[in-house]
Amino acid sequence: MKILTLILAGGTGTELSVLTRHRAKTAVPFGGRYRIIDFCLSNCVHSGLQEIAILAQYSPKSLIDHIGMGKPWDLDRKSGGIYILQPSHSGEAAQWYLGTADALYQNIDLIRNSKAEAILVLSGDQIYVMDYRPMLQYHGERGAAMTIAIKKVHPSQRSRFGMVRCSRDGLVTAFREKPTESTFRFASLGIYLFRRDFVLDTLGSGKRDIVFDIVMPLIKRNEVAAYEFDGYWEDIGSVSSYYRASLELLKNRLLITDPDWPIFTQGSGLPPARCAKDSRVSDSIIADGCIVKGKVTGSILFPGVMVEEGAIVEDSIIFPFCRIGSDARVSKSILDKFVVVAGGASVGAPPRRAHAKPTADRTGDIAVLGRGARVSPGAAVRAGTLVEPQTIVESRRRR
Amino acid sequence: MKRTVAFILAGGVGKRLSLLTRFRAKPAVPFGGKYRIIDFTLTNCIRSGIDEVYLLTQYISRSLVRHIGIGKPWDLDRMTGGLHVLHPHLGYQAADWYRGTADAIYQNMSVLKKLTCENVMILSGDHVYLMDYRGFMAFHEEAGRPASVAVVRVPRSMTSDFGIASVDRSGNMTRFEEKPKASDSNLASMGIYIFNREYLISVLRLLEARHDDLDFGKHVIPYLVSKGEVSAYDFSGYWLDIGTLKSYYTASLGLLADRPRLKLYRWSSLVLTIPDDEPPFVVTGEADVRNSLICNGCLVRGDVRSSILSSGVKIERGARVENSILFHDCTIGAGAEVRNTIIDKGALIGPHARVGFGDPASPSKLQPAYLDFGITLVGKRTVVPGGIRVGTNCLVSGTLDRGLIPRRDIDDGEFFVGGDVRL
Repeated sequence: MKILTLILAGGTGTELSVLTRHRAKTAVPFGGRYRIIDFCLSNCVHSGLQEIAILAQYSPKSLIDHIGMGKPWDLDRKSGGIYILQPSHSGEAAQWYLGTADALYQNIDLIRNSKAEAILVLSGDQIYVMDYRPMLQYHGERGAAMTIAIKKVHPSQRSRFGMVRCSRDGLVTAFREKPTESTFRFASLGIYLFRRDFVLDTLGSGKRDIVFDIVMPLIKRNEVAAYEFDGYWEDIGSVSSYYRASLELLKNRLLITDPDWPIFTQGSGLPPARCAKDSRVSDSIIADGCIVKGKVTGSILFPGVMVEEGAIVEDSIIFPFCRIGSDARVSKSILDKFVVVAGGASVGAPPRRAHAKPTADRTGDIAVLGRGARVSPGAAVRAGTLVEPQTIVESRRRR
Repeated sequence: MKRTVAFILAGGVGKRLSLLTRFRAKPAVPFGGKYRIIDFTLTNCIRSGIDEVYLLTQYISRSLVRHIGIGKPWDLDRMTGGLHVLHPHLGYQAADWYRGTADAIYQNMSVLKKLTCENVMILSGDHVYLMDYRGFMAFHEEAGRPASVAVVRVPRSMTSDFGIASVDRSGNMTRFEEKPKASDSNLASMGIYIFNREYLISVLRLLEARHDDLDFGKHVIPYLVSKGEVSAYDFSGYWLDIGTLKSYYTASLGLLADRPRLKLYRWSSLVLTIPDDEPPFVVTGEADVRNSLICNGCLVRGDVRSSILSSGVKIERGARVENSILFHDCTIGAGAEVRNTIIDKGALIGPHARVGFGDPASPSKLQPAYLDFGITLVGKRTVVPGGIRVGTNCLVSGTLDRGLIPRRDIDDGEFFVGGDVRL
């Protein structure tokens, strides 16, 4: 079956706070050398999908840089391949993508001109490992207008997802978006497979959202089939879930180390990681180009990170080209690209006094430093603090 | 600056690297964990604005050709110019294996003649160095002689390993001697030359008729020096000809110095090579890694000291690796100890084996000339059974199909080399 794959990558990703201030959510670094979208793209490549359009609109530069011509995924092809589609105008009214269905509608010519029999719509901001081929086959056998992928989730998680009820023969009979309480056991994974003729008939102006304007009406007509998936699937919905999913890799590293399912990405071009004479590294993932002279434990270091003598990095995620000065300490933190923690500074230490002002942010007790932030020598960034990009944190110590 | 095209000589057998060049060309020998030796010369070329490069191969070129592909990592996959591999071939005119460095160029006379550039640069594929050739090219134009040779100062004790040049005050090379027993000068030829192209064509034609083999160091440069037509360009940076196992081992571990002479970590001038698809390196809670270079794809559960691990190496629990160089995808079994050893690609050291322990004073019985300085070599895809001891100055290699070697200790200087791995 010939497939056209459309990856939705236009969300603002505000839930990831400063990490998405300058980049699309799909381009957020993950797992020491990857970007979130690499997981979806690698799934496509491993499933034999070779025509992929990425629909982007929010801070697309980071994504465009990363995707390039698609070489790391062998998607730099003569026919098919990968391309990024941003909102454009055709001489008439032009507007931003107003929603997921509208993004498809604005690119309806692509679908119309395609010879694909089915259109696979994916989200670029999920981390999962899935072979789409069984789903494609299932869709072909069912002959439904649409097939959606579903997965059983824990009752406590049901309010985060679109929840689905299925009939015994695999038809979706009801759908509730982020219900506060629900008896439905399956979550929709945001993986939609459409018959092409059906998409062409259904999309139209005024239909903005795939779930509300397309899936829901179709369910009433009994035309949505459900495909159950039970592998690893993670929707990064907050800074703390990003943090948790990242550090989970230290225990469950098969996600990135499976030789049968490598995750493809751009190479950094940097030299090997270097551990110096007195380095102590344990329980960590360390990318190339890092130079570690201090102690690193329970952490993920992206390429080109420098940890100076006597510095300690623990339970933290450090994005590319950060520098941790000598005798500095970074714990339970996320440092975006190019952050500099000067000598003797501390980041992520718990507040000294119990009644210290709690930060009313979604980051919980994780300190998050935006791109290029600088922590001055001896300064302290407390646990759970959010530091905006390019900010300089001065030392408060009095002389 | 005038356009210059480079020819890289990459056909040498590299016999003195023993097992490391048994299945690969010397320029394709891994260096510094993620690089191959050829990467340095190719990086120098593109950084110096040379975008037309001819690579002359001969000895087991498969690994080399596979590594460089169409030259993408060096931006040498170009519409015009770019990277071309010249292998010995049969042609309309008499053709043969390359018999010497200059003969290799002579046999590609048609390429040399077709070029339109004024100068050609002759490089070697088995040197490790970072050099901006533009300084050399500018020097050549200014000096005005038809040939220029780059020279570098070497320790007096080592002059007998190199071609040694004497230079007068005007930069004119007055004397050139290949591997002299004694010499007043310590200026060694780097084996890097710039020739006026037309001039090179005429000289090669002239000398080809006079000699059976034709070598730049042995024939061409001495002839040109006798005519006073060679300038010497003094290069002051780090340069190493990977000639012997010892120089390879020493130069590799030299990367672990506090301030290594070869600058791999300068973000503005990174050495270019093919990217890998491996995950970042994973170190577990029980591991201890110090003073080492570790590539992507490694999994370290044991102790690593002063070693270089290429991508995909696994160090199991309780294993200890010290002063060693491990090529891609090696596995060191649980509790095994490896010291002063170079382990080639895909080899496996069984649990609790001890490799490289012994008295460095007893040289290898198989290759005493190359292996007498206290390291041990484990060949490609060799499987060392668990529990055995392999001494120092040992050569150990199973066959590529079936790597397992016999389960018995191998004493210092002894060797086991499988049937089809003739050295």
